[in-house]
Amino acid sequence: MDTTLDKSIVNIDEMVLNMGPQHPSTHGVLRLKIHTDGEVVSKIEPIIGYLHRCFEKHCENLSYEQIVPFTDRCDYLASMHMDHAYSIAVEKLLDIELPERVEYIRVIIAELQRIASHLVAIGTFGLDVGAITPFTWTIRDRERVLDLFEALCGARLLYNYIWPGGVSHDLSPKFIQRTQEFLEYFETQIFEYNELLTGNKIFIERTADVGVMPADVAVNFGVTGPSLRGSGVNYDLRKTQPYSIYDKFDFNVPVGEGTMGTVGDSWDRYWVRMVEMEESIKIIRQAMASLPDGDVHAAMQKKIRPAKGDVYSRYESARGDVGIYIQSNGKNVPLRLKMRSPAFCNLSVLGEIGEGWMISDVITILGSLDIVLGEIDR
Amino acid sequence: MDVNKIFESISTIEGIVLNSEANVIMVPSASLLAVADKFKNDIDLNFDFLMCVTALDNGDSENFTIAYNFHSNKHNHSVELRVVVVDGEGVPSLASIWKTADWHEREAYDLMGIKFIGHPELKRILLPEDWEGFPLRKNYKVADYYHGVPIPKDKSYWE
Amino acid sequence: MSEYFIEIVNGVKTFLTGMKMTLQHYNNKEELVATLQYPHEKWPIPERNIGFENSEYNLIRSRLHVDIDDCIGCLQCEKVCPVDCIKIDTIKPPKGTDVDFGITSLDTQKKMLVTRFTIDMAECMYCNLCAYPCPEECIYMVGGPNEHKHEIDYEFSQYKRDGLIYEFADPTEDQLAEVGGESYVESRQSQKQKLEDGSNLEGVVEEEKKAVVVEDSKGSVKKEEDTGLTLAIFNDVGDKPARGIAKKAFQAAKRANMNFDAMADYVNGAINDSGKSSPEMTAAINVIRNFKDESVTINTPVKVSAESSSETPEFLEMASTNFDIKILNGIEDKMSRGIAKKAFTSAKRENLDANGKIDFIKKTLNEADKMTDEIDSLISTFAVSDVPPAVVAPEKEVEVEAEAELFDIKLLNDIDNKMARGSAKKVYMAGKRGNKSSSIVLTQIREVLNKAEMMNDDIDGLLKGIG
Repeated sequence: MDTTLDKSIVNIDEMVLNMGPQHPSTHGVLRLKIHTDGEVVSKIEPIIGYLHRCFEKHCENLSYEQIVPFTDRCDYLASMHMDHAYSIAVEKLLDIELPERVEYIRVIIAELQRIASHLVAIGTFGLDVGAITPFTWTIRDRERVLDLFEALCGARLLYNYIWPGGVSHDLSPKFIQRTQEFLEYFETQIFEYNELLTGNKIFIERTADVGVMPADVAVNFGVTGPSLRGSGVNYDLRKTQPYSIYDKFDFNVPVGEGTMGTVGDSWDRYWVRMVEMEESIKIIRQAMASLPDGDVHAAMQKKIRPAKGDVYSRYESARGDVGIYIQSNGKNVPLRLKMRSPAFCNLSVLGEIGEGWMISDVITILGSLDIVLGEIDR
Repeated sequence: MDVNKIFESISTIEGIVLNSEANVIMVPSASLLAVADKFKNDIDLNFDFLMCVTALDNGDSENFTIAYNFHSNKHNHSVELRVVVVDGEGVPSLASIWKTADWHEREAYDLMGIKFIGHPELKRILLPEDWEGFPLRKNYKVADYYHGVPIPKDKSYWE
Repeated sequence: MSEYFIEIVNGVKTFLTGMKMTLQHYNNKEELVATLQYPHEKWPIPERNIGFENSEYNLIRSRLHVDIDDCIGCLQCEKVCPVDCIKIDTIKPPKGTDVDFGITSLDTQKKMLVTRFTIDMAECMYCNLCAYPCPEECIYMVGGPNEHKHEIDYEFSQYKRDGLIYEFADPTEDQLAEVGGESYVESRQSQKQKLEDGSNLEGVVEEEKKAVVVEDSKGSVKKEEDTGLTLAIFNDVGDKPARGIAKKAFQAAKRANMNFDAMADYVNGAINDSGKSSPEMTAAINVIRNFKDESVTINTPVKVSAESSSETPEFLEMASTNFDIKILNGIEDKMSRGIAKKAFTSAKRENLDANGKIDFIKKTLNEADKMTDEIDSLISTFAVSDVPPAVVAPEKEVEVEAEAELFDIKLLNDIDNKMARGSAKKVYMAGKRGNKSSSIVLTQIREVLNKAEMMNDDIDGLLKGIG
């Protein structure tokens, strides 16, 4: 008797595995429908929307000032970046000039936020591949940044600090001093992270040569931010299309070079974030050295009522290129507001680059993409 | 390269109009694929990034505008295309040229109900598959119940 | 072998050590216990030792607080709130009156009375947007730089969700009377009642929501809402103003719980007064008159037993509800109006009926030497004088009896026979659940006991004594 099955009819080798929506490695409520052959992944289908909060629909019913707390809640690990991106879009629509002090404050805050966000990315990435200690270290140092923000605006996570036309408060007393203390402390910490994680043999084995994302694939999928730069593409809006006052500062854009393996592997994406934090320190130092005096509320409008028109503005957040498309009909409420969320595009590439790896490698790849579901689902 | 030069280099394509006021190029949906092909492959244009696909309701939920924002990393220039489409008529999908369009077009379909012809898998992405209606349309009315659960519209229940 | 026993000994030893530890904790509960019975007991709040000094903060996002004495009711915070968690109601005094509401700490004259200022902290998202536009700086987040205004509030846990709705406004009755806010208070109370009944609740099955038919000893059918008749019956009437009058009268009659005949009479009277009667209107009124609600016919026995009573009490109630505080606005003299209104509110608190209220107001005015002929005639028109007092008195008693508490169940303990006592108590409990009056319950007890042949002279005397 013939006991072999006709494989063209029944695919007995394939198993469909649901990872999430409640899973510690999916970084939020994300569900991955993984088709596996043994332990090798043949297809990944990310299923999103579990955290959809109708952000864009909300915006159609809120005045421009009231939207800021909602942009906070999109990317909750880099709220300042979201506020900043949105504020820049509204300012472009209003066509107003900001006081210099506001721009400097915004840059300092945005770079501190980039450090805080990357610390979470690095810590959880370590956690994903089995290194637990670095997570507690990075979270400890992130707390220091959050303390600074709390002194600034009273909140630790959802700041509502950067407003269209300015910032809600001037720098808090002793802010500059405290930030300097933090930077001095943090520079030594980066060495420790490198000793603890970057050069760790197990970590390199788990991440180097894993989840290689070729540059053309990344560009085609619209991947931006550190994930794209990890693939060796020199694309950073702060350099290529400088917004705010980034053209005044001297800093480098780190790109992946394949130090431990291939260009565009998970280790490169991790390393780009590591180096970016050092670059952020540089920018903050320069900005604090030349911080001008002035009134931070000078350009603030009492009622924001932009003229009729559309605007698409872009911003380099910790996760990539945030695009804000605002359609205004001359009222104090936007007619339509669309947010191009960077992690949304970054996640879409997972199906492409995750194929052919083991299930444990999929977790590594997902961790290296550094997604925030609040921003993907909006 | 600014918008005028970009327009000149693709001006041979039928039906495209330059809206110099808003600095956008209006494209009829029939010529969209031709424009996209030129954008991607022309060495002088070389738009490697499709940044964003935005669906806009023109006010009556009958006519929609779809705005495509392109960016070229090589030449460091950007441009916005707009396609006007009537409800029910489809727009050619760009998912085969830029993979970014895949999820973005699904999102536009999900929230605004725009059909993209030739899309590999046009289904809802953010909302549940059995959701009724397209929430970002201006004439969208919130249903009373979803799976037997009342959808609250105000706080008059308890205040 | 010896290892084996050593291990057993070790096991027992360590077990006992553990038990000793537990016992120690048991004996020194006060010192060693780690669990606090929250929320009855609380740990003291530790000194803040992370972060910075209070002076280094621009702001701390804690609970919202309102210094209501400084609030001018400008509604800026309500408008700016993205999640609509602030609700403010204000009443402006009627034109011509000059009520002084005082000035704020920033020397602004307050022009209206803030009757409601609720913040739903369960809904608040701590964005602090409400604090920026406030012209009087009276709404703020507590703690941090505002520590001197209000100390920081770390925990505001509550057992129920509405415990997180903070009410800051606290208008006194006098203030409300001064600005003529009586109708406002009533509407607030009716809304509160609705909330308690859950009448706005969606997701409740329709039958549960339907009003329950309540019978009282007078036999008139009281229903909470749905009589089966709706305003739609007037839709055939072409004349718009007439339709309006009819609908208004219909609603008033419905509120007063009239039966259908009385309702029809009332609507008819209102139409005739305005001289707008028409054939369609007569037809609509006849619809009311001939309307038979099925729930009424089911309960015929009780209805028959009390058929003798008249509809007068309904009209009495009507008249008393008609006597509204707004009527007092007709008094021209400011001082006397204020006194009258104050008297009205306190009379209302005492639950006096219309006549009682009028007497009380007259008495107060006389005491203050402010009584004039006009006021007297104005108030007196609303006295329920056309009903002979002789009728009023017994009706009132019936009312009181019906609403009075049922006699105490302990009185039935004096029945010697166990069986009889049990049956009597059963009837009593059923009567209590049905809100029956004492007399009905007593009759029912008699019936039951007679049926079971357990009635004797002792019980008869006892029941008579209770009655």
